[in-house]
Amino acid sequence: MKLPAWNRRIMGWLIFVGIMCVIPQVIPPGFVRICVFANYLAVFAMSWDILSGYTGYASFGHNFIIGIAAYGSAILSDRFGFPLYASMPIGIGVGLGAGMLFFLPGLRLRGNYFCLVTIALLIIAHHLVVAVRPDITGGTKGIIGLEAFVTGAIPHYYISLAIMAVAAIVLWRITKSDLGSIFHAIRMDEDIVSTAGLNTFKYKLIAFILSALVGSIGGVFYIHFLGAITPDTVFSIDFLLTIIIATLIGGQQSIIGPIIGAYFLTFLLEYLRIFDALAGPQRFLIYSAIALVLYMRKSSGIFGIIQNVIQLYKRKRGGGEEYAKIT
Amino acid sequence: MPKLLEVRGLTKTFGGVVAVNDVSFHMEKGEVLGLMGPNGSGKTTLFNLLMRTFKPDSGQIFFRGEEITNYPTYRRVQKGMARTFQIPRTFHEMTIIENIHMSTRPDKITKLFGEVKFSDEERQLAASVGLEANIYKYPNQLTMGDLRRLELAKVLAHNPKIGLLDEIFAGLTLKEINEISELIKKKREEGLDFIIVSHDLRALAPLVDRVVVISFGEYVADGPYEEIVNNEKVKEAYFGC
Amino acid sequence: MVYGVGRVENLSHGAYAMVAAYAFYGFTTTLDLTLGVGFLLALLIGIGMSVATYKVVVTRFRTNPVAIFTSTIILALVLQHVIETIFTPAPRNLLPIMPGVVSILGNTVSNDLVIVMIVSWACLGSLLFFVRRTHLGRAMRAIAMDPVAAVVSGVEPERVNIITWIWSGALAALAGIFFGAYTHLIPSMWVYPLIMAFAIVIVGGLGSIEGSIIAAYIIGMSETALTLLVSEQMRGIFGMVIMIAILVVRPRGLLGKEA
Repeated sequence: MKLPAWNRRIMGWLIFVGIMCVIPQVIPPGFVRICVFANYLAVFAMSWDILSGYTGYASFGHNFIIGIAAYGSAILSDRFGFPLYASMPIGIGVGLGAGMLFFLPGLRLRGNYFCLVTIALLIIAHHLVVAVRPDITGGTKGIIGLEAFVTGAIPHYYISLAIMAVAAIVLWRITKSDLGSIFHAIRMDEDIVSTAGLNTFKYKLIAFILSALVGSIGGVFYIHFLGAITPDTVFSIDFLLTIIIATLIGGQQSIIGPIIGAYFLTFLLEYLRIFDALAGPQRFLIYSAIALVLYMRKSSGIFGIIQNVIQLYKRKRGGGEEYAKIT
Repeated sequence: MPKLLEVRGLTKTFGGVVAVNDVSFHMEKGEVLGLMGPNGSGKTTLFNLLMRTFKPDSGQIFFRGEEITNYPTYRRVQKGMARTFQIPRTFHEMTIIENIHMSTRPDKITKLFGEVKFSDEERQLAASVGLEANIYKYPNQLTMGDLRRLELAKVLAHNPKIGLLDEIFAGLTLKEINEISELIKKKREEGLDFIIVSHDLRALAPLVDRVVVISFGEYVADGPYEEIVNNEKVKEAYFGC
Repeated sequence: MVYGVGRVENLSHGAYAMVAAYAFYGFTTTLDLTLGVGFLLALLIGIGMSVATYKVVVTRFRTNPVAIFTSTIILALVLQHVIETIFTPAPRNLLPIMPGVVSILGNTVSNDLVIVMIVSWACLGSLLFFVRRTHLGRAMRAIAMDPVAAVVSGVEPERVNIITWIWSGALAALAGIFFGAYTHLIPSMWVYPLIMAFAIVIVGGLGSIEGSIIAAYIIGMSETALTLLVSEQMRGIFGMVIMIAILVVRPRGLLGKEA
């Protein structure tokens, strides 16, 4: 029995994707490049959200995985001459593999211990990539002149849009399923999930694999769009917090929120660039301050605000409690 | 014919405190076992050991002849044991029906991709414990009595071989106690067995066949209800005389 | 103190050190105040930030450690950007607190470094004494072990907590000023001391100051050895690796009282 609500929601996604496809034709060309950044940030934010937002295992080393995948593809294509259709899948595999190897033991840990382990891994990666074989990794300067698979902002836009759309629909669909409910339940009380007869490690593993896989895919495509990689662009705390803040501002534990947050953040930073007085670190101060205030008020981000508005509207029209919205 | 449940020499120490000391007892199929003892005697710890919330320092547990001592919690539940918590633990951001829904989920990934749907079985479970009017409410909107019913519903959702009910009657009115008691009797006729922890002797009496008494983590006595109630050692444990 | 004894993960702790260091710099150079006054004011700023964080952030997210972790790390980033805005991201140097060098066992050591050693030992010693011997110190440990039992025993948790955070802020400011003095000032300087602090407390064991001291020396010596033998870039790695190892294998730490 198909619930009409599902069809409506899938339609919603298709309309969204349709609009996004049309956008480059109607906006100024300079904006298209900004949108590409926003799309990739959305991919990173969503992949963070499916693990950290849903299961509550907040990873403060998500860009460890992204960075390893990116460096994997960058090194193989630039230093060893691999063609992109080889270096990119291998890069994704390396990112996923490194994630499994180093992060999985941490998933046994509760509360903040997982957070600490993940941030420690990020810091180690940052140092190691500079210290170990700088001839291959490029040391602090990194690698530049990476091969791109397309040229021009618009093709990059459509590729980034495709990745973001597929990731969004797949991840969103999962969150609406029983799997998503289990992730959510793990966040609320992992012990009683076990008591309900479910092997919580299995589900944490799935959430993690989804997170690492989507992140790695985003990472390799992103790096070949940027054309250059340095330790500071991928393994920095700044990049980590950009991803997390995008998710928090947009609304964690929603998949849609991270997309909103990514666009909001990217365009906010660009918009502030216009004002000379704010061209420097002031921009970052503004966005991080906004993030802090928003998080403190524990609003569920911009998406949460949108949902509250829709609830109010529904209640005024007299909608029933029939369909209990889960996440 | 192996016993339904057999516990041998369970011991658990926390820091300097011996919570459970070399406790052994057993349970047959078709029995409802009462677990009694003064406050702090280790009854809940025993439940926690039976369900692997805690690891015992020593001892063994056998369930239907199979040694489950090293099985993790979820595996014990899948084998046929289910418990309630003395202080109800719920998924506070989910409605009552969603809470029950979580207890009916199979532990198979391939079965979990579907949309979330509430089955008739789940609605019936809610109705059987008297929660049908509350299924779309959230736990923080419910009374303690209703939360205990939810705990029971979650246990029944597993159709367990043994339901471990920890203070299931606490905080309930007489009417509610009767309702729950009738439900337990009915389930018993359908083949479920229970271990019930309760202070309320009057509530326990019509339900249990045998009783195990522990005090300060030590085994005191076990036997049919009438015997135990008149047992000298048991009286001493409870009243100190 | 806040983490080991109070069990709160305040990731902006390192940022207080950084801000205090910059404040000291600002007071003593731009505003041209005397060293002593600048020092005191910087200390007050450290204390102020610490208590403000406690009052605003920790009280808000009391039962949610991940939220505290998240909000304090964002706060640290905000503080970094504040300093970047005021002072620009370029590195700066603090004038030495006591200029000159001294010869120890045939090696020249800057006076500042000697002072840092003496002061840090004094701090640690008094901290040990404080936590072990004084009523207040015991009260702090009591609250860390079991808040309810502590309250029932007559401890006022709010007062003790605030005093813990005041102390913590003051020590952070102190550490920041000295750290800035013998290295240099840069807005991202809060990261390294912070992660080292966490590594040390976790490896040493929560609730044990002696453990922290031992861990500090193990990690510190190993770091120095690694940077000399391998490369300067290895600084910070050893601490992180051993922290991860402890968290996964023995979360209690070396001398920890409880996980």
